[in-house]
Amino acid sequence: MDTVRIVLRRNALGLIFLAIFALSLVGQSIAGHADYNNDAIDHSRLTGEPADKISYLRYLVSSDFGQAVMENWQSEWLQFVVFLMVTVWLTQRGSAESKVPGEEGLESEEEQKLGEHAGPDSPRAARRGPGALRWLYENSLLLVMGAFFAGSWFAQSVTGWSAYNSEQLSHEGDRLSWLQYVGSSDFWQTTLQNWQSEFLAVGAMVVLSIYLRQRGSPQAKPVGDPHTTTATEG
Amino acid sequence: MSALDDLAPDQRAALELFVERGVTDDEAISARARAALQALRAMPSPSEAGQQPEDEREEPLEPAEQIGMRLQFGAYVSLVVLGLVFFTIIGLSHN
Repeated sequence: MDTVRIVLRRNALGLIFLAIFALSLVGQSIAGHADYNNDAIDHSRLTGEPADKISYLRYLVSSDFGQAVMENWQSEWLQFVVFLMVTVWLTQRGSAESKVPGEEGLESEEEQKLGEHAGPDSPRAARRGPGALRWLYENSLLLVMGAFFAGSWFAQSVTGWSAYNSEQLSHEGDRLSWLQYVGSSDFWQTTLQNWQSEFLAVGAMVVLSIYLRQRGSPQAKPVGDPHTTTATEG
Repeated sequence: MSALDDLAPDQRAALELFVERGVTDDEAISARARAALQALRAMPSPSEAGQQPEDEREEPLEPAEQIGMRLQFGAYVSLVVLGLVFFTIIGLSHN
């Protein structure tokens, strides 16, 4: 029992996000289903035909739901990919999210605890000499996040394409090919509306953490730190 | 190390506190302290010297915790991959 409590306490951050993710996704699906059917009822009033309502389970496997989830996912992965990349090479003096100006770049083997500088508890890949396998591990977070971004952006494109064509059919409009859809204003509107909010939020976090604090959070500087202090941990 | 030796014990303690708190604004401190700061930075950190400070030392992982952490990692990766595959198939099959 004690072991379970210890494991839960030490993994609380990851577990709580897993839980609130699941709850939010379920909430989104319930609200999205109701919204979809409300639209169907509104549409039927205009056409005079019976409302084309769908069941909750049918909504879960619909392109509408898929597009709504995927367009948000892709922008979140992109946010982390861009943040991981630019924080290697760019700094922001005074920010809790930045390295110290002057330390831009990939850093030395010693600073990164690589090869002969690795400790006994270092991951096996970090103890290796330079090579393809170590390079993969050195960049594994970026590569996986990048793959998640590419995957969700593609999934957004195909679910959005399907939802768009379904809408076109009901309005007797022309259907588009996938390539035509990824060049369409509908695709880029849904994509860029998510990107802009992510970039604003990340930029604001970088700059606001210069002057503002959150006591106890590793995402902020210690409350008493000067504004000029650039720190990667609080 | 000579730059460090030039400092009085209390100055050295203050400088060590400076480093510990991550103060990096070199221009805000005197030339003598700056030289000492550089010397301090060149010294191996406790982890590099093979020891960890008391407050950074974590208890070794128990087997149950190791499994728990790996399960959590697997859960996140699986959720994302499953989500991507699921919605890709839905999008493709509806066209």
